[in-house]
Amino acid sequence: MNTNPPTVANHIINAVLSHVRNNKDPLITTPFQAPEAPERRANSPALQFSSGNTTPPFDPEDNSSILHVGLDWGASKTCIKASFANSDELVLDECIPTVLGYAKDGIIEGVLPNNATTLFGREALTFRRHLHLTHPTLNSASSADFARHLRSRLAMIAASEVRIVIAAPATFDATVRDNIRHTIAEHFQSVIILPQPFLSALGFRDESRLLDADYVDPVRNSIFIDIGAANTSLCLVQGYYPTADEQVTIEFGGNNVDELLRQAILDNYPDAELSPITIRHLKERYAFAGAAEASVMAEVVIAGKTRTLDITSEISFAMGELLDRIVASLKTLITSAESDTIPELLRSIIMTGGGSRIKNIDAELQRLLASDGYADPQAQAVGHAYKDLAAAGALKSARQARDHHWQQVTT
Amino acid sequence: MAAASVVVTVITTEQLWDQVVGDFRRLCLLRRQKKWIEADLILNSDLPRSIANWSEVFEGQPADKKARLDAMFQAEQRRLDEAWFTMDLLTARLKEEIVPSICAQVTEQVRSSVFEEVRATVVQEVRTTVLEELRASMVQELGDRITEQVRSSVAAEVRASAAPSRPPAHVNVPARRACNDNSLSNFAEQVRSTVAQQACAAVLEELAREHKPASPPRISHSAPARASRVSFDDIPGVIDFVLAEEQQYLKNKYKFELSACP
Repeated sequence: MNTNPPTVANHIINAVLSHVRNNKDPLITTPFQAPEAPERRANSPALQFSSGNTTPPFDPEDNSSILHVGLDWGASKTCIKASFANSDELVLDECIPTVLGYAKDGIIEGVLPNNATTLFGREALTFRRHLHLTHPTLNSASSADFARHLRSRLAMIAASEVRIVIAAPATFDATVRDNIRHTIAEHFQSVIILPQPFLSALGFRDESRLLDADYVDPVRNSIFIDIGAANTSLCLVQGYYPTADEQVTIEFGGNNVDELLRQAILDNYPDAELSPITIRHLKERYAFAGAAEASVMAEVVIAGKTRTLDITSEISFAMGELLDRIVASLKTLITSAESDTIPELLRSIIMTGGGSRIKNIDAELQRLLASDGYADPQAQAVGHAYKDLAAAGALKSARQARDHHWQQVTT
Repeated sequence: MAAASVVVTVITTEQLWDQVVGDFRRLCLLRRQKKWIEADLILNSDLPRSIANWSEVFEGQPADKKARLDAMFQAEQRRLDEAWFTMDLLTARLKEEIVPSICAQVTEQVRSSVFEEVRATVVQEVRTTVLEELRASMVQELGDRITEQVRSSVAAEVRASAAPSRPPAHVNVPARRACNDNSLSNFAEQVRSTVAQQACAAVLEELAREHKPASPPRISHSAPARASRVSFDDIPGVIDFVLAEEQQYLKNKYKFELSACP
């Protein structure tokens, strides 16, 4: 072989090799990435000790210092849970609004804490008047910034390695997941991305009660309905990891309900001042499904004056739209189940996600199914715990994942 | 004033001559490229017009004009023939020698680079996996063997103590322990040789496959076959399944994108 190739050849070779060495080639990256070089590991966030000491406060060979993290990066809220490999104790258990604020131009010094240019979560909401707010989804341009914030929540925990399982919407294909992995690689190196419906079901399951006679294992034969901010996913769980046919995602969630509600109110009260946050507050406080028990009287600012409006019909309309879509998808999903499993399946419809907090939504879903001829449907909303389920499932997965599962991405 | 007008005339004549030369050159080129329609347009329209324009301002006899035009036609045709010949030579050389040489060099260097990187990752993966599995199997087998031996020795002891003619049980204990130690030592030797054999086989197998750019994620023992469903309880199996699907998808996509390249 000629050791002195022509200039053009050298150029092409270097271009190809730099591509390969940068590990951008999906065939050569995960999950068989070679261990990081020592100089890279020294700069990795996992090895930045809060004490500032260069000597790790743990034994690097000891698995117990590996920190497992479960992350549910929702469109509205992000839940993060962490525990060490040898302990059940949660060292971090937080739910953060998925919001990021960039300081507006020309802001006076001292208005924002520490004159920060970027604020996250509740702090961003508090100072929203001085910020350009954005809701960073997993596959958005600002996801790296939010990942940095999430990583900073773990910075005070001394760990030899941080291994994170991330719940991603079932609609994200392998390419999107791969892009996400690369986007957040600067902050999280050992990553597994799993579908959110599976993790929600896993999080809902109480393994400690499996031997109880009166405990119905929710993953044996159930339908999980997760009403999120951006979309709603329905998943058939019958003891196995759900296939693509057993999952339905509709691009309609809490944000769409907000928009419908806003539009319905504006149709009747064109001068109403309705910011996205106002609408969300109205929904979270007054939303109901089915027939209204009483008129919903809400205070809304119109032309600078606070007025009390009857928004019963507007809320009823918006919720009705959501439920209609859920019922239509649910019927499709039920047909994909084996016929002899359907009666039991109908008795175990589990509603989760922020939308499951809508008053009476489970009873109304039952009523709609029953009125459509389905026998004895039983739906239950998981209640306040809905925020934790996918993150809890992700943490369970992290704890059971084997070493070779961890996908390491270099940047 | 007269001098100025002479200068203007000279420039105009030269420009018109350049126009004639340019049109003729384009005509020759188009005919070489077998673009007959475009060539005919120049031949029937552009070139006659530019020759007529030049002829009007060029001060000379018609015979001189014709001679100059003929000389230009021959010179241009000769230049084009030479240029074409050079291009043919270069194209042939590029096709037959330079491009294959570059391709071979690129292929070889990419192949060796990918080979090295994949081999490093595969060896690391195999080493980790083999060590993990063997450690687990050794612990399990040793545990089973010791349990079995203890159980049999206890049973023997019970039998011995039940038989009045035999010596007391404690007399036999050191002998049994020695026997156990010996068995364990033999077993350890067996395990060591098994470890070596398995590691050797795994490494040979991986080396035999090392021309592949990457292999799909290893299936854990708990994972069922791809065709069957993965149990919800089997989280490592679920992760294997998801990763394998992902790898397959990316592999296919990558192949597709590669094949779409010219």
